[in-house]
Amino acid sequence: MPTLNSRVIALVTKDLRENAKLARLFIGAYTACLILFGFLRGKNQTGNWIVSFVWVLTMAAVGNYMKFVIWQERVKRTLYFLKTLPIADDEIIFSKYLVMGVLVTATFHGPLWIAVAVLKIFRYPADVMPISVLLWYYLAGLVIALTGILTSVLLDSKLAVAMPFLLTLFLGAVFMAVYKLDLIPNILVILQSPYVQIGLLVLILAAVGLSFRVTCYYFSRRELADVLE
Amino acid sequence: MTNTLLQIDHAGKSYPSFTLKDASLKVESGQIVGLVGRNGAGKSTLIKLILGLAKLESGTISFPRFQGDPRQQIGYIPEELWTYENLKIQALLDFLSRIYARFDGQRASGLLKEFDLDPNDTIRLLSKGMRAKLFLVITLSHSARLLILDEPLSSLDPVTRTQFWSVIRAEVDQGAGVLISSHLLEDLEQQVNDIVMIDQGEIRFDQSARSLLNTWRSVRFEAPAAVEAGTRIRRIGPNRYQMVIQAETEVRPRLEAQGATNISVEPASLNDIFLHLCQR
Repeated sequence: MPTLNSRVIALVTKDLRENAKLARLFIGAYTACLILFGFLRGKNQTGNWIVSFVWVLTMAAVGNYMKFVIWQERVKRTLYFLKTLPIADDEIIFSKYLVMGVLVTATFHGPLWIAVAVLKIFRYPADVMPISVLLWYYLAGLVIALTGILTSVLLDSKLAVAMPFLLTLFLGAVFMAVYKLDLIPNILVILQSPYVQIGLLVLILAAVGLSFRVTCYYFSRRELADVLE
Repeated sequence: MTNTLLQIDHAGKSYPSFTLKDASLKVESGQIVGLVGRNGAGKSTLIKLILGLAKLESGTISFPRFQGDPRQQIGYIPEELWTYENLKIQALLDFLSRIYARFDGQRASGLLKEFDLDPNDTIRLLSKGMRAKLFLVITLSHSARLLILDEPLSSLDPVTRTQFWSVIRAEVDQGAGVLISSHLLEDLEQQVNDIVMIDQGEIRFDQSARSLLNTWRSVRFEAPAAVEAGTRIRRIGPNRYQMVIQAETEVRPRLEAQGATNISVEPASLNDIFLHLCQR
């Protein structure tokens, strides 16, 4: 009989080919939201709109590239292999929508997470960052961590559980320290510099790249070798 | 009990740029069926439909001899030889042994030796030929009764190809049925019982290899200039031409009247017939 883990892997990839349209819908909606968000931000805060807009376009481009060129091809090949094996269809325990939602969210969790942090700072040019910002930040972290857990269950990857939690805790601690030490006004002044903005943009791009790499890692390492251990 | 392992009736599938129409064929126990056609003709689509990798839109596909999940008794060698790349061969076989009810580990070990594969090799480091052999090992180790082979020969050297056919033939002798798609028509001509030719999504013919080869003749001749014979003529060298005709057709007088010399009429090869029927 198939092992539970092999069922889980089969579950992840089950019918993904048929779900390609759904995935495109997800990505399209996500991209549209980001672009809209970038424009709206640009309207209110002309100082930062270029940064936001470029970031949004970069995200969209990298995300789409990642999804359609590498990720889908790999999963498709896995699907083809698994579907030829006698693993019963009724072992599918989650709906395809949930699976796709989790995978797409997991794919973008790195950039999304950093975006939440960076955009929240940009959004408050006042000298005090309200505590609600931090709450929002932690809420986002929690969602991402839960996504990580679900992803790890689906992909059988311990790293997928640990990483969002660790990142959330670490960066949360950094942000909290910045807030407690009352460094935000100084940071906001620094952020006005175009050089800093360019630097941030580079960092964001690096984060996108890292997320891209980590995602590729998940999909290349979620091999049965891990499952069989 | 029926001998039919695979029965396809009027299968259809549409893609935006390609449609497979009304495809019917069957594979019986002890039979090798060769599936031939140009690239993009629909061979792989048909195979995907058989394996459930694509959804059938019309017609039926059944496995009359199999009970339960037919995949337990189907062995498949895909065109793209991909599996879990970071596994060692042995780990993959161990995994598959838990999935296939009739997996024979001893046979797998024996076949690995026969095909010169090291169970400790990592799959991603295997050459294409070695991967093909690994897939053959997998297919044979779970005692598949129906083998679906999608271009398995293209990456094999002549020695391994001979070995491959010997193993396949032994399986067929024990009652397995094989559907093989390949462009290596010389091999198919030697090995298969039936030939199914698919062209632009439609099955052009499905007949025994023997009767197909008996139906056609290859005519070669020399001529100083192009001649007209009511059929397609291929230039095969300086002033040398070839054409393929139905066995009962008489063309010699017509060619001679146009100045053709050294006319020879021989049995057509599968390659000749294929070129004749597929060239547009």
